[in-house]
Amino acid sequence: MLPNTLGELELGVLEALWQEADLDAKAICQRIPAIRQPSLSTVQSTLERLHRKELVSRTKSGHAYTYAPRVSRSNLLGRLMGDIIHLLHDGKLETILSSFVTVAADLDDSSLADLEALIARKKQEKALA
Amino acid sequence: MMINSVGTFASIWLALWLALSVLFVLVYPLLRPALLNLHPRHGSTLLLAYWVLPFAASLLSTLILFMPPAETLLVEAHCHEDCASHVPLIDSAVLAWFGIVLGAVVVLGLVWRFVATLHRSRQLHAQFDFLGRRRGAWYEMESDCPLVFTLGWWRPRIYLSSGLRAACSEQDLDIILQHERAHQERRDNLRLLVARLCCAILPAPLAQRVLSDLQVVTEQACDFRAAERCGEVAVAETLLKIKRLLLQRPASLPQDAMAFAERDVEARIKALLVASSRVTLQGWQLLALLVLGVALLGAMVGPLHHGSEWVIDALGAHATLPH
Repeated sequence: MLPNTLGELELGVLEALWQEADLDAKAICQRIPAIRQPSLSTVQSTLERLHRKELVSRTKSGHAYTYAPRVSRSNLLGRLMGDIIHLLHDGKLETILSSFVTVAADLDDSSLADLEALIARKKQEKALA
Repeated sequence: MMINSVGTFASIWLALWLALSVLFVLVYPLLRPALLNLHPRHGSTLLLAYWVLPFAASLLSTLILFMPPAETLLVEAHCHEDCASHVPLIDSAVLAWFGIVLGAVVVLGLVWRFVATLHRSRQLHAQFDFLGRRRGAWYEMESDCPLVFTLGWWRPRIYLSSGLRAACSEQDLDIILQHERAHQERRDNLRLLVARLCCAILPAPLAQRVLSDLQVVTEQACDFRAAERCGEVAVAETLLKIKRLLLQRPASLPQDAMAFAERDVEARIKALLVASSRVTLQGWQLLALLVLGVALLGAMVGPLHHGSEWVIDALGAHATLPH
């Protein structure tokens, strides 16, 4: 439904990698805030998932892998917003979120010009009143 | 006897909900012009009430039908084998079970839809809270994609992209945030959810069609709220400006995603430009509508009792349960 949606831990891992790339799982684990600090094996499986989703790249370094993000924060947000626009288009989010901008969708040029003329006329009327 | 009571209750409720929903769909074209001519603040509330009514009235009147004190008051005394007070009852295990299963499927379907939507909403909340940056009453998201939305039901939050922020003047931003704040205060996402659940008995395309007016009027209500502070013309101009901005959208945005509601923008701008012609209801008129609704609900119980007995008789499965 939301192809680019990530879990809290996946986001936490990405956040750690955005702050400093080329880290191994142990270093990432230490950089995740203490309140939700997961075990090393949980971080490893999260990294595996992120790798499968092509959100991180990895390089073999001795016995372990080091990881780097393949998407930036704004890139990920852009993807998420793309999902939202698609779902709004399909009417699948209408009960969850209301949007000002996406409903302002395509009109043809002549309709736009008509609306512009209407607004201008109203402005003129207000100025004369 | 318990199975028969529950089965009868479920059957009457579902049949009445469906019948009222179809009736309301048929009557709607007659009421639509008057409803859409109201100030959208009232129009959106009355439209919501209109689409919630078949569900609420069917459930309440069926409950009353099975509540001895209320039922005795609202249904005129009449006799079957004896003249004791009674409720209509299906005397067939097959039909009773059919009613129970159907009722369970509908209730579970509604609960499933609610839980699935709640889960999606929470997922999005967690994600945007994490990726966004709080700016007072709203969250900013670093992205070129021009988007602003209000997410959530009970405590909705406003999310605005940096791309949109950069493209807007201070006044545009003020108007957009006023509009979104109105969604937040009115809890419009929750209203739409309630309306959608209450129309769940209608086929999906029909439900979508009947609810589209509610969505447009809801947007208009928020436009009008922004216009109270910034003026109708300014809000109309901002809508048009955002529209133009979307035409110059980044190539990464899907083409089709932008073309789904062109009538909305046109209708919203036109509504703003003739805002003064909208009818505002007085408090006593709203109260009168409420009293009328309650009176109609009370008046429904008698015919519902006799109608149910008639249908059950026709099915050859009639029994009465004395109080």
